[in-house]
Amino acid sequence: MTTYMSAIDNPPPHRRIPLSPDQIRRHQLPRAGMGRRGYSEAHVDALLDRIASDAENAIEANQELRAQLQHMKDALKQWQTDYQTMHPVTRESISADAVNLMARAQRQADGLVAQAQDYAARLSWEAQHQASSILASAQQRAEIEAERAVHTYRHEAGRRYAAEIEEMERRLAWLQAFTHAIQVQLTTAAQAFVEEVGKLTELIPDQG
Amino acid sequence: MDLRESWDAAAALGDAVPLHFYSVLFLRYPQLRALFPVAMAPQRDRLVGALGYIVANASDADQLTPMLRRLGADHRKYGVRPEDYGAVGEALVETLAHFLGEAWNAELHDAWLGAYQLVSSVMIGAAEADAQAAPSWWDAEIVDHQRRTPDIAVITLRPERHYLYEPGQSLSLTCDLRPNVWRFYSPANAPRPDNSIDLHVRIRYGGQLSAALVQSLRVGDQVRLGPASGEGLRLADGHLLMLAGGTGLAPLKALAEQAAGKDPTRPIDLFVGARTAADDYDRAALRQLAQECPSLRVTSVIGEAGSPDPVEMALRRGRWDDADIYICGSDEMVSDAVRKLRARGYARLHFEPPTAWFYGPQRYQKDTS
Repeated sequence: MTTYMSAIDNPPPHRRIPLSPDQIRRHQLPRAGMGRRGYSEAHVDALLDRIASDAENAIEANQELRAQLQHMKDALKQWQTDYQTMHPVTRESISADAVNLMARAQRQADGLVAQAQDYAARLSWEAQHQASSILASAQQRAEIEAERAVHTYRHEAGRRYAAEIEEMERRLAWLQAFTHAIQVQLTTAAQAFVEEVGKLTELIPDQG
Repeated sequence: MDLRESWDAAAALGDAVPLHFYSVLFLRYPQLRALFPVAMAPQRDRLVGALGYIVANASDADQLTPMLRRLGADHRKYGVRPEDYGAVGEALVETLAHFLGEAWNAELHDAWLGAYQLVSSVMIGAAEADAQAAPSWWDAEIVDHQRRTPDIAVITLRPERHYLYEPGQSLSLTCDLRPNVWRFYSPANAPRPDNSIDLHVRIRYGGQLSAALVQSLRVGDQVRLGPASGEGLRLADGHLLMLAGGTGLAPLKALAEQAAGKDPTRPIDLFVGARTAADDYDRAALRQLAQECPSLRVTSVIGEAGSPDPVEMALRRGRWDDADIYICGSDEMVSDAVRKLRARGYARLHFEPPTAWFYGPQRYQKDTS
């Protein structure tokens, strides 16, 4: 006995993809079984139910579409009526000067925003670039000092050498050198910033 | 001269045409200016693009109608009302008449008006149908704002009403810090009972909205959301391989949460790329997720461009023939990944197309201005 095909299994009717005409034609109905002629009644009934249900869904969908189409036709008609009855004043043409002024103002606004964006982009990129290079350079210095500390410890520890102490010395030296390098770089940057700000105030003739 | 020729002639005149159009529109209907952002150059490009597409596909209803319906429904979030469409048609016809001069005549006038009426009726119909199903937009409050790195913030917002979305989709967002500037972002979590949504926002250098969201937005501020959209990243069954570049992690994290929620035993491999360890901005949360869900394996891939990226790392681990592969990140990262994967015979790839339809979500901040 063939197992019942998945195409006929039972998802809720309104969510189902309907059987295609081809699926219906190709569907193999099982025979009625030993001793009887024709197809299995149960299978035939189930198939007919399925097809009838699909047909119902199709009719319903069709009706919905017709309703939507009518709605849109009504909306279009309404729109056309509205357009025809629009107040004549709004159909006056506007002076060329007004349009040109408006256009120039918009261009100016576009230009200002684009300029601000470019500036912001450049500033951000430069800041990030500078941050990366400060970090990289501080790390380099820290590595050098860490190596130096290890070297010094080994030289001075002699028989009291302990690997944990060496590691601690290394880390301490690294941290100190790193922090110091960051501090130096940031101080330099801050000083440069203060100088630039100072130059700005020189532009103002009367500093009251 | 027919409709198409008249459009080609106008389009050839460049930016002056849409500039004139908007000038006329706003002079006539000043209240419409409030629906648009300060900087209009990208908007002018979009208008010309849309009109060009419509004219080119005028005879192909199957191609055009779905696009117009999407457009019409989408315009609701801007506050566009059906009565505003008439104003636009008017300004359009007047602009074309102005530039085509002698070539303009009564036939062209009627042709354009008729075409516009058809287009706008489809858009209005779609907007009205959409109005039956959903509000025009959702107001949302910022309930958490975490600056994970100088460039990246994880922002949690709560819409005032239930907001429907599928993990993997994007939502459009605007806030009063940059009025009427809309950008797409992807929820980084599967839908929660409290309706809250996490967004991963990176400052795009020179971008208009992203910088404001990361630097200026505060808990308690309000934002406005448009409906969710996007079909490229949807949950498949079975083994998942996920490749995330930067904040492209967001939709993939949401999908991983969704998958783990349905079946905690399903294997998920997530590779997250970041330039430096500091840029691995969601590391703690992902490790937490992996602890709660043992079949989720998270690998951080740290390195500057050129050194191993998530795609390379995944490929080095071996074959992934039984997996559906998800990719999200910058346009460049996605294109590159898709190319490499296809070259190695992988076909079950999920990603948002890099150059999406002009009103659709595009990956990676979508700051087109």
